Amino acid sequence: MEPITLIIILIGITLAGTLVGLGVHFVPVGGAPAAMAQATGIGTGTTMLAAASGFIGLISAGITANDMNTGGQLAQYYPKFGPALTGGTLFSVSGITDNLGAFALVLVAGMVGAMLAMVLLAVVANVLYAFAIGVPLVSAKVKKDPITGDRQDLYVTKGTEGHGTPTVAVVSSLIGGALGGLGGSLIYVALLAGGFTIAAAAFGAIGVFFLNSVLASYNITGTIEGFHDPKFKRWPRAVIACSIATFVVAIWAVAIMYMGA
Amino acid sequence: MSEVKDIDWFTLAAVGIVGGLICIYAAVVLNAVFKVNYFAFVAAAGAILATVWGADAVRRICKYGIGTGVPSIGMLAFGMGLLSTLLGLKVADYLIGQGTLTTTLVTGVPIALVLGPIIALILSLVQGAVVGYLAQNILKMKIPTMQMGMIFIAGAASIIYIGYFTLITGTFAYPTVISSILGTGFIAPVFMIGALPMLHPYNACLGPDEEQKRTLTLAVESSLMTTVIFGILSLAIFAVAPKSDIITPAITVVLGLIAWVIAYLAYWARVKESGTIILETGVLPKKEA
Repeated sequence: MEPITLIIILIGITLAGTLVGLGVHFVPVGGAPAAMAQATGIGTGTTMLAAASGFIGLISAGITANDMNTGGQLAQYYPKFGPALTGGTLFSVSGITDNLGAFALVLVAGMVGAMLAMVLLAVVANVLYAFAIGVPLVSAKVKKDPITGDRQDLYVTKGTEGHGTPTVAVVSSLIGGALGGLGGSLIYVALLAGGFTIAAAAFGAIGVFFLNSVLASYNITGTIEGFHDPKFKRWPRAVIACSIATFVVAIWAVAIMYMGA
Repeated sequence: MSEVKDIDWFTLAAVGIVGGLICIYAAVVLNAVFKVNYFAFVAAAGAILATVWGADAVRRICKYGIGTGVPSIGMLAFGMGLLSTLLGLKVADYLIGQGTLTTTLVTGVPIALVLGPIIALILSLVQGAVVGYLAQNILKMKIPTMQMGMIFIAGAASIIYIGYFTLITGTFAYPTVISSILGTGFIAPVFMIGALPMLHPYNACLGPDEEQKRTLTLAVESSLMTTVIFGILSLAIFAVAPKSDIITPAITVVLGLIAWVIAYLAYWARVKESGTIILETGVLPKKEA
């Protein structure tokens, strides 16, 4: 493959990995305490949340890319996408300008998939918190919900750090899902355009997704409530760490592409 | 509770790297010499040695509390190890394609192919060093074992990958790995179930009375269970034409099951050893005397 294309892929994967790392900061990761309704957020760790949103985002992005590539219903609107993908010219300068619409479609599909996963995890769990456990959905980190303006501190049970996923955290999880899905689907398309098979591109993307989500969750020491949490201010550290770590992984990926995946 | 001296982690690293690579090479070379696939199970021994190495590194990092739960570190190791491992195997394939280092050790095993796992291991160690540095100095985790531990788990993940690739397909040649492991989707179980024996032991045994021998016995036990599962998966590769070889998966599964029973009993003995006797005192009397 020509060097410019490889460099664009390298930059694309690095940028995408950084987006995943940033996205984790928006997701209300509650961890084990949240599963027992003793902390605000989705009641599981970052690893499982990354897997859930990553896999669903990949499925939706993958279906869209595959549909355009194999002459499905979308192929008639984006006829240049399939040949560019199989020819390895999708990430050249002309390939990107020719296929902006197709790119947008794949990336948005990935975003929507990941956002769906996030909002399902947050809202369905909220139904259980409210009606099965019987706790109000409150955050302990802020006095008033920044979006609805509802009073929070009165409803937090003593000795806990909030319950469920309140409105601000759900909105935050949507932003996180969007960033994560954007990053994940960009890695997938970049690897696919570099000549990886579908399975190899999917698992390469999952690998990069796990790497960045775990690094980002080390930055927030495991739990965060969303963009209103004081821990959110640590995001620049994660951006630096994730971009360097993904850059190294991207070098491996580009080296495989150079030698013909 | 640490009267028993722990095995040094550099010793375990040596066992994992040298033992792991020797077992993987032994599987491929023995298969080539005898022109059979039966020795694929030897590669599992390499993966198990690497798992023990990785599980020990995981317990030394997670002892300090990483805040995200132990499983995250296994996923991190396998996430960063995947592409570096594939690149290492690809370099070997590229060299063979270029016609360099094609002198054969034994029939069908050129020197370039043998270099693959070593390059994969080195690249994974480099990746682990970068991530360890980032976690320690940029994310400021302040865990003294983080730098070395990250290098170790990335290296262990690489050897575990290659070990199980060889167990399932009988070789670690890049084209076979791409078609038989990635193309069939077996990469998903290799990623998840392969990581479990490394992250699960410390996750299950952690606590004030955690001891190295019990944790590592559990690592061996759970990786043998993984071996049995991958033995069943290898049916899909070996038992169909043109190989039509049902004996290789059978050997892997039967030996794996026998070894698993032994390892399970050994782990059970360790659990009983570190258990304490509980004295039944009965419930409190309803009325004070």
